[in-house]
Amino acid sequence: MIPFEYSLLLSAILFAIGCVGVLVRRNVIVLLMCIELMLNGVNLSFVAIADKLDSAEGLIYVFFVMTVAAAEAAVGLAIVVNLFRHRDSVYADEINLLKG
Amino acid sequence: MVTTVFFICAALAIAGALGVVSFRNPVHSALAMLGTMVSIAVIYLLHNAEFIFAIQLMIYAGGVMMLVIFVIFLLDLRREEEQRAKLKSGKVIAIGVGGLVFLSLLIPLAGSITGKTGGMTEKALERIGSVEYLSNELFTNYLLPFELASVLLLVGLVGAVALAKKRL
Repeated sequence: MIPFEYSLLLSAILFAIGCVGVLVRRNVIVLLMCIELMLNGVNLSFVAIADKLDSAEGLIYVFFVMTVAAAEAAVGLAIVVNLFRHRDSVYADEINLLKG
Repeated sequence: MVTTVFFICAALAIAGALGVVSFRNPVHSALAMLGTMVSIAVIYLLHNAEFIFAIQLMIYAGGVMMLVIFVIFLLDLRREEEQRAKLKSGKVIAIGVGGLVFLSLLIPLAGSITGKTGGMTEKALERIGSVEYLSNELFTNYLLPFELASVLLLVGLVGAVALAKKRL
């Protein structure tokens, strides 16, 4: 049995790395992957605390988070494909159509 | 033994996460992400979450990451050119923000976790098993959210097709 503090520490590290990635990278696909990384960190803390509290609720939330993440990835990648078709670029700082 | 496995998987997960952020080539980032997801799946297994372990491998590693890799191949991306010098300060700020996020996430570790304990004790797991216990909860107390999740997936599917198709 793993102490849940270890897993919470790991999930904090993963979330922070994902956060830095979202701020540093410019490729929209890598940004989506960094968001998935942060979601994975959150899922890990859900699972660790569910294990600690003998509760099924945490695992059920993880199930719903994964559902939303899958839908988000599908729609996000479709937007990226469309963006590439129109602007020929997937770099976040070149996508400024809505900038006033 | 279990702790050793945990530390190996944690090291792999962190290395993969750093790879996602630092590799220039998006395909390398995606493969590093795949490694992170598989190591996190093993940690789920160590936390007695067999069902989450299976869907982590099937949905994340098998579904979402394959979709990402296919899109990267489809788009024929050029390598991300070196960041210009003016972004250097931005990088420092980003790492500072990340450090602050990390520190704020450590706050719960200072206190102890309190909360209602559930019925998924070792005794119950021995009797019916973790997947069965979870499905019992999911199809009774969480039936409405479950159905809403299926509607969400349908909307996501239709939306993705509608967005990615050239002409409807």
